[in-house]
Amino acid sequence: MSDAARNGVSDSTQRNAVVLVVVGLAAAILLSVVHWLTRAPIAQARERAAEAELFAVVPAFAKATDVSLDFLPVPPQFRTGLGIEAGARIYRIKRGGEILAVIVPALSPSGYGGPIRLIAGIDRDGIVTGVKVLEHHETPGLGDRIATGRGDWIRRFTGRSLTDPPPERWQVKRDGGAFDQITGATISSRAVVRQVGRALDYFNDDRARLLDAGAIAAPESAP
Amino acid sequence: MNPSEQNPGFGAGLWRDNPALVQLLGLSPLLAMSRSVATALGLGLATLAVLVSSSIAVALLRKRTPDVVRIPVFLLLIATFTGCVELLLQAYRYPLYQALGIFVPLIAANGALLATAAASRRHSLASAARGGLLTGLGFAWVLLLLGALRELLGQGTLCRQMDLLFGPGAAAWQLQVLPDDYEFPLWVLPPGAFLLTGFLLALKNAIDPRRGTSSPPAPVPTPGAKRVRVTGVPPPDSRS
Repeated sequence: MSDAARNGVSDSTQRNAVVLVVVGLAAAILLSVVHWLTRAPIAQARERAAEAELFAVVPAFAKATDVSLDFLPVPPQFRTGLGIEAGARIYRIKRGGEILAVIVPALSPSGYGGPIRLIAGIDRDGIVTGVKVLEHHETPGLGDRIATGRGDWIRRFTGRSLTDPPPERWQVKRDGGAFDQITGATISSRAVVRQVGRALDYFNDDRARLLDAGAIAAPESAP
Repeated sequence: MNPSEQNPGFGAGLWRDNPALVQLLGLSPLLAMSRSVATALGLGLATLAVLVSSSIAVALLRKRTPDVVRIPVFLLLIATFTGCVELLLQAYRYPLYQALGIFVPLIAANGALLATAAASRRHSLASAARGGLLTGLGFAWVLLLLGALRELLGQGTLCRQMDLLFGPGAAAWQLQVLPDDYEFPLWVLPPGAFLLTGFLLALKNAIDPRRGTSSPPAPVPTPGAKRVRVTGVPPPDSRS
């Protein structure tokens, strides 16, 4: 500090500024280079992750090479029931001109820790092929067992439909339904069971359009 | 002069000046990401990479950095390397990146990094790299031990979801140590993390006197240098 006073403040201030600018520039260049190098792999990784997420609920087609994906928007009258917004997409697994299964997004506002976002795979006969929780804020160790990878609870929907059990029994047992609730996490379980039921309801109501391969569909492209 | 300031000994960052157990730096990522072996190892390695690269960069620039701007320069360097690690993780280990979440960018806010950067300033390139490596390993092993303990006590497994780090083949590495239906959520929840960290601290304090390394010698600050470390160290003399 005494140096600065002797030589005039401007000298040391200038030197400090130069050092900061040079280091800042070097940092910016390094980050830009890494960003430029990783841009393509990151885009690929995101796409792969998004696709893997979708195919996790239609495992039968995960390895198939002859299927393609397209998607439909959700008509406004169904959005409230599913709890989703205008941009949400129903993905469809397609082979030739035939729709094999659809992937319905749904969001339950009534989780214990906040909204629970999930997708349900439903085949053309209305049978659930898989359910995956994409986002939740449930208690670790209790409510988070609704998510795959933390116990098998979520797999109990696979193979069920609106005839097995009938619509009014798509509830947890506590509410007189057909599905076990997770001990200590009734609220989380209830939210998921009901929302999967609603996804099936929606499939039934919109079935004709969903299974019509000619329905106005956008080809699978980067979201 | 304290030898560790000149040339960090092997035990410096790993044990005696362990960032997590002695300096108590970076506790938030330590507690949050020690839920399982996989996340702990992932964050440990990411932190290690940032530590080593920023230590080297600080040592390279040590003669050109005026005292007044050293903290901004350190922070800039640390943030830059954190940014690089974040991009690389996204590109090549996307699922791990998703599992670590906010704690990847928060590596830049880990106090252990700034402390190590401040120390690197007084070292040659080689010894700064060594110091960064030892501190990073010191943080990583505590994180890993805590992760293993919490996963074992909380869920009865070890190494689940290692595919996050090592690709799909590693999914089979999961060891079911305790019975299949074993579960003890306390250890997975934050209170369990605090308890276990406390036990580890106590264990280290119990071991140290026996090894005759109980009290780390008070470091003598280099003239003009300001200490960043705030725990376990008497305040630096105020001659500058």
